[in-house]
Amino acid sequence: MLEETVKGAAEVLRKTQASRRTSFGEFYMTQLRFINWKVWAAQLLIILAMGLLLHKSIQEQDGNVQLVMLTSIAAPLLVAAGKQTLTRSLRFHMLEIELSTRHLLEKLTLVRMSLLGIADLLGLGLLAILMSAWMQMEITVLLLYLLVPFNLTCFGCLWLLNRVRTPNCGYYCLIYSCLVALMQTILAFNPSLWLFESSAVGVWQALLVLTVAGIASEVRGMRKICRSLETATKILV
Amino acid sequence: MLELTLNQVSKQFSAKKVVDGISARLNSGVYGLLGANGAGKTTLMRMICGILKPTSGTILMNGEEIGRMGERYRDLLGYLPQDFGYYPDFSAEEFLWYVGSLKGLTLPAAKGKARELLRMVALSEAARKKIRTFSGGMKQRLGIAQAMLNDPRVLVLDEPTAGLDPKERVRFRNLIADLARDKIVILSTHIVSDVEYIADQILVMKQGGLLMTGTVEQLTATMEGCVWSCHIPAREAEEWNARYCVSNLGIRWSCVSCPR
Repeated sequence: MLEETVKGAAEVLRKTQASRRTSFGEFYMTQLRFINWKVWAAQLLIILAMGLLLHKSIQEQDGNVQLVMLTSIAAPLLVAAGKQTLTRSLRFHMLEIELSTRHLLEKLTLVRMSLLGIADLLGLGLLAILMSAWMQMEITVLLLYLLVPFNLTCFGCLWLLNRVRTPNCGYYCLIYSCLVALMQTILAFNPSLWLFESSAVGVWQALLVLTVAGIASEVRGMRKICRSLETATKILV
Repeated sequence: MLELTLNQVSKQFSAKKVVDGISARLNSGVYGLLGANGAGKTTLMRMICGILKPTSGTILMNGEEIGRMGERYRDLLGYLPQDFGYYPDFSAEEFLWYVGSLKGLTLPAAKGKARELLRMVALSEAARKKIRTFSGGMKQRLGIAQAMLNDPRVLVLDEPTAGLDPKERVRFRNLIADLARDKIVILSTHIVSDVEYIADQILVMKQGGLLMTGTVEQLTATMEGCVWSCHIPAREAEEWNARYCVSNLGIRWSCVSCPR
């Protein structure tokens, strides 16, 4: 009798679990475990390497804007490290399955983007705190210097991803991210100092607003693209 | 009781009409979609799954347009695409957990269902192996398992037997026959024997249109008097092949005589 009750209860539990569907919040948290650990490891490595580089450079020379420029190279590198997560549906031909499930590709892409974005912003925030402590600079200004290249890389990658929907679109993003990093390296070693004068803060703020608007527009485009197989695999350029 | 209705469904890509005004009413049972490559089977199935929108016409589930149903329709749906991909860094069970999460299953439910399905498709022993090490047949069986994760009421299988060996084909047919109760199962193939015994209805497609529908017996009856089996001299085979539609041509060297 007891055995039957236990069996019955287990069956009821199984059926209840099987028929229950996850909320958006539960889906969001579950996706954390499906992002490859190598992506998180690469991002952590970039932040640690930049932190160490910064620490070493500050000990050798006085903190200056050149170091800020050099540290901000972390931004495009972080985007590059996460790009494979954003392009993997297309790269591994998973679109059809991901377009036919309860939580659609559109939602999945947004979740992946936001998870990576949050991790990147946390990393950049940490770098800004370290720089502020070691270089005695205002943290809001440092965040501005880090966020503009980050946003610029995100915007460029999203622009590419929205227009070149091919399995190898991730490589184009990688090339673009490397170009941004290269540009920053050149600027770091041939510093255009006026860029970091207090009078130029307005320019940085304007750039931040522009890149945020650009990202918002590209995210909207991405949502539309991810709703149908036709648009999700289309080349628009 | 389920009813999937296709009302004059058409799909056009640029100037080419791939699916042309298909109408059908599907209730619980197995439906075999037969047709040569390029007949429009995959496009029709993609529209049934809602991943492509028809250029004209509507697809209704119990009288409600599937696009409007959204999540409610996708909750009823299981789909195995023709060329489905997989994430190579996932093991078979991780892949099923992942698809389970997309289908809205909680992680414990997805894990339980994955275990059950892996057993059903005989992949229990390979559950922790990376998918990149799987053979074509194993990947196909995993694809079938992912389609069934949410206990779908509408199961759409595009070329499900591709890559399966004869033994696996038989196992698959039995599996579908078992699953078909209270479900609409639509499976496409160009191999008649795949659907001959399990399909309640066959829909034959040609150049985007529905050529004929019916049970195997009904379709076979329409061919009566149009199909022959005959013996001809080997030297005439080429001529006959050009003049008629020859399905099986066999050469028998049954009689050799040596002149004295």
